[in-house]
Amino acid sequence: MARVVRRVWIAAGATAIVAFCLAPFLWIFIASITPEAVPDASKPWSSERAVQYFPAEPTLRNYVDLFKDVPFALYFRNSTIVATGTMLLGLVLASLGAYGFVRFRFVGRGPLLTAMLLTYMIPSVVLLVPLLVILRRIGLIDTFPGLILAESTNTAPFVLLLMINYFSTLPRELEEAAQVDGCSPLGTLVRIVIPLALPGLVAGGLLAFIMTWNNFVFAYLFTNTDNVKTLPVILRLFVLGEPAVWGVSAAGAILTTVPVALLFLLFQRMLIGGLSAGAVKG
Amino acid sequence: MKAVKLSRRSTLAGLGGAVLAGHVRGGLAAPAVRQKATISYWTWADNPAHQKMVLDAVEAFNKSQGFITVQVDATMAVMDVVRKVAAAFAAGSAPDVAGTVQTNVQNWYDTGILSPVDSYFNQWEAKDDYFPSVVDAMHSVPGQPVLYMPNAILPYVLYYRADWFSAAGLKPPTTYGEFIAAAKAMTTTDRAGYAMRGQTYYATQVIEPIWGSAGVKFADVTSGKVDFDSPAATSVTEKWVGMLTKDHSAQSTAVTDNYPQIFALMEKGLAAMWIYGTHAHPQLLAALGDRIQVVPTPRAGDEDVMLANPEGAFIVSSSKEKDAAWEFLQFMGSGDADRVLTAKRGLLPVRKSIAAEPAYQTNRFFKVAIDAQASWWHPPFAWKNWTNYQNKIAPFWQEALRGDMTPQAWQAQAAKFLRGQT
Repeated sequence: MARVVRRVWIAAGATAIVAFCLAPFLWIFIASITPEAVPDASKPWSSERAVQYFPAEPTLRNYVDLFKDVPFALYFRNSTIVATGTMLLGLVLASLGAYGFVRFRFVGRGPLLTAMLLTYMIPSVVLLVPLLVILRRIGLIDTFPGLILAESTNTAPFVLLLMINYFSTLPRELEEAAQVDGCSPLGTLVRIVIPLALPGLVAGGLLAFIMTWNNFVFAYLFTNTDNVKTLPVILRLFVLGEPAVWGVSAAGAILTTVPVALLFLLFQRMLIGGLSAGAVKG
Repeated sequence: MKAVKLSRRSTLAGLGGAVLAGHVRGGLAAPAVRQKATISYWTWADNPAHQKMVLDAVEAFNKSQGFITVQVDATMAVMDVVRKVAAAFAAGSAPDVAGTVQTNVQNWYDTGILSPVDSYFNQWEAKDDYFPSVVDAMHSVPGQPVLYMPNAILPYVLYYRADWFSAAGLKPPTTYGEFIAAAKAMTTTDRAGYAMRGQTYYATQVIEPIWGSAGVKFADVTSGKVDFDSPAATSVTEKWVGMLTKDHSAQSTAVTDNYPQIFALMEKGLAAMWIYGTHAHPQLLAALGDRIQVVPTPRAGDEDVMLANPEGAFIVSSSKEKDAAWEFLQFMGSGDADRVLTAKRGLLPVRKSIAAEPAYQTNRFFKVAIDAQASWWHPPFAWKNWTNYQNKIAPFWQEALRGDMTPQAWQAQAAKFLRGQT
């Protein structure tokens, strides 16, 4: 009986937390299927957009208007390209870098690692003008490679730290066995370490993807045309726009959130495993 | 009749003149740029519809001639343009032309980012077509060169529910006293007499013309004197705040209400009056039809003052294609481009010939503002501490509306900001 009561309390608590976390998304979804204000001259007042817990006439019109009024599909494509590119670049750099830091002893290893940590503490806002100067000089402003490089300055150090922690939990014996069999260090990394470190890579990659997907400042500053601009830039226009278009804004927010939420659902086990690796030293 | 003998020289001269005449249209001078040039233009968009207007206007310019190509970025809010242009200028990658509102013009000039257009504008035959008050604004401070090219102006008017006023036997207010009394008279249990904004940034903007009409200068750019804590200024503020705290003729949620809430109040018939720009009229007209009318903002003294803020674009000093940039600015302030950027957005053109067209003269919201153009005015944005005041005063205003700060204390604080004392 006590066990049943305990389970009920746990379920109630979990439900409350889930409801608290999901409520804003549910609210935005309801806003996205609520019709925008419709003027009706026959009534003393005409905008029927009072608070509704569910619209009397839900509609997908806002989603249609979103794609009609702005090149939302283009921004979506751009966000996907930039976030995926940043994630892949970050994973490559972080894997190589983390393996080097964890498995090799070389001159300057300690100061280099400290420098990496210190640079990560610098707010990204401080880097805006220097990055702009660099990108201008190498002709990469308003290009995908330029934006990916800029975003990587934000995400690669974070993924590197994550992978250093993860690699340090992997047993050396497997790598030593591979090297005894003639595998090179790079081969050991690719064939032995990376497959073992998959949860950590997924966690790092996912976090890099999300950080880039949500990043506004770099996208707004380093891009000038719709061909490269990403979703946060256009969503900000909706937020600050006048008059406000709540339904269309909400539709944009939902479509921006859904891909990331799906990725989380698909890889949640690996994400939890990757983030918690190294937390408990056996 | 004597036969005209055409020589080769006279024929060529005549053809050349015809070609030149064909290029002179809508007040545009003959194009100066006759080699390929690509310029970049960064500006803001209030919403996707506005963005489309800008893109369409730029495309029209690109198609109107075959030499200059303008690449436009109009995916930003106003303040984002300021930040992006400033950062890009520091990095050496600024655009050739940047959009601006009057508020920021002096800052752009003082920081060396803006390149004046005096030499171009003074030679332009359309320069006399601009409203005099707009030309003054283009100089920002008397004695300075022409700094930028406005292509639209946003006047602020008093929207009021004509049906309710008529039912109450009241005329729309012309003086500040009548306005305060009308707000009280219009207030019932179901509606507020005036829709007041308390949230946040620059919520006091709509009161500025009333202060101005009371003889308040805010700050004199020339003498450096600040009079914003004068009895005249304080009296205006006392009555305004009193609408909420004493008369209860403003909505009870005023402290935290922003534009979306106030639009909803007006559209839903929960408020009788609202001072705001003419760009609000399409939405209010769609919701209320003939029931919504406008008059100029009420005056506190003898002088009519209508807040009217120009907006447009300037040439960035780092641009290497200033001639091409000027040609683009001319186009954006002329003809169909200007009509698209004004009438459809609810703003007025800055040129007399365009404002005289039926699209503006037959629109009652525009007509009221155009007829009052002699009283168009804007606060002293060029004052060195104006940004200091504008950026810091918001939370104090909310305190005043809550009754946590007296109007006198608020006025004193605002004057301190304008003096740069804090």
